[in-house]
Amino acid sequence: MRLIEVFSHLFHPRKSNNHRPRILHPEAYGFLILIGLIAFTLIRYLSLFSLPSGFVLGFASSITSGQVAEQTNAQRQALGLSQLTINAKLSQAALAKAQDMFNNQYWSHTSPSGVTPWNFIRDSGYTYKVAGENLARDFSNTPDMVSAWMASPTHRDNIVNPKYQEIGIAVVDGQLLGYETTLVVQMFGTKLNAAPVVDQAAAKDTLAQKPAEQVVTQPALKEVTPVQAKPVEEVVLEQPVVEVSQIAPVETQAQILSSSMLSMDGLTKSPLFSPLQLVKAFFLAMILLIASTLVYDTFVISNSNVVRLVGKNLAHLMLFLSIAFVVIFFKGGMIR
Amino acid sequence: MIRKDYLKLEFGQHKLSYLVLLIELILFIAFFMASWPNRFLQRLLILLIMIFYVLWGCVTHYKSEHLTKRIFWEYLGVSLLAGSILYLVTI
Repeated sequence: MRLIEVFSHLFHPRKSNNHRPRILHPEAYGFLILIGLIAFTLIRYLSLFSLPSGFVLGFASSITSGQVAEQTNAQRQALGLSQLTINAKLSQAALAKAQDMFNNQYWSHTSPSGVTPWNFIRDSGYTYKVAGENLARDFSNTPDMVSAWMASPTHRDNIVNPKYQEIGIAVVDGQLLGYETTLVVQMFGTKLNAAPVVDQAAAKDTLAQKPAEQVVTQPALKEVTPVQAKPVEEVVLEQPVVEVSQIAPVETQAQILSSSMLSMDGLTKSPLFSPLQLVKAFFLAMILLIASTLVYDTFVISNSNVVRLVGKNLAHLMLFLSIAFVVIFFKGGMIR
Repeated sequence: MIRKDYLKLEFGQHKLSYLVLLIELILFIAFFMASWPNRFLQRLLILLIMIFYVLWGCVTHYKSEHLTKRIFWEYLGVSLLAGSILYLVTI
């Protein structure tokens, strides 16, 4: 009986709640915000704990370094640019960068102690003429991640930069800044002593299909000719980063086709839900509850003779339905 | 069923207000989706829609001479709840 009373007070407009369901009162919205915050915190913390049978809640990603390389090259091919070959040393540098980000808990091109991407590339033994880096996290699949990079002008510039000839990719799972995630590091480069490579097949294709773009591609490739005692020319961008090296030692490095994928935390089973999915589900349930109450309240009041001064239910409904739409179609993932 | 004349009266009295709200919400959704993956821009849009909604509520009720403190708090509460949901999803 008592439960029905409470339920009725919360959801049915009547005298005890001033003819407005209690859940639609201004104080109740504050209470709902608090519940949302608590639920969000719980979900995030739960995702950090593993159960003996594997993760129930955690981050699952289908991204592989092979897919990233393939789709990056697909973007370049679409513009008639040469394909990037995977370089083991660049992949090693990318892996070292990803591990450093997990070890030192940062999400940036430069570490808190000032270590830049170029340090990792040099440490791997790759002597570059030009290099660049793209970062991504929290993406569940490769197409979304590559789309996000292509949507960002600075990241896109790295992907379709005709100066790059090689690529190194690391896809690493771990906990970053309190969240379980998959971190993707993409490092681009061209060796210092590399001759400009013109992909004849691509060039022919481009000539046949897009004659106008051939003119753009060729001069760009010419710029990649080996430099001698070039002055310091460093391009520093906030995101992503690109660097042209001033170091001049000539070193021959064999190109080895390889890729690396490492699981740092021993994830053995794919989790059932990602924290984002669960957060979305929780908030959608909350929106559904409020929207249903708004519709019910409008129904009851429209059929009664009660006059009251309250906000507009239809406007609230329109807002919450818009929020629900955004929540449903929101895509996770961050790039840098 | 919700009485048709109730809805007709409500929309009829505030045609312009609802039209503005509808356009604003459509624009918000479009810009929010288009700004992906720029989280900063998305959060800025969330803040803008929150401010807009409170202002919309106040102006609409002020025009009909039905603006009270409680109504202001209601619109503030609704926009804060909507904003916090969106903000927490984008973290």
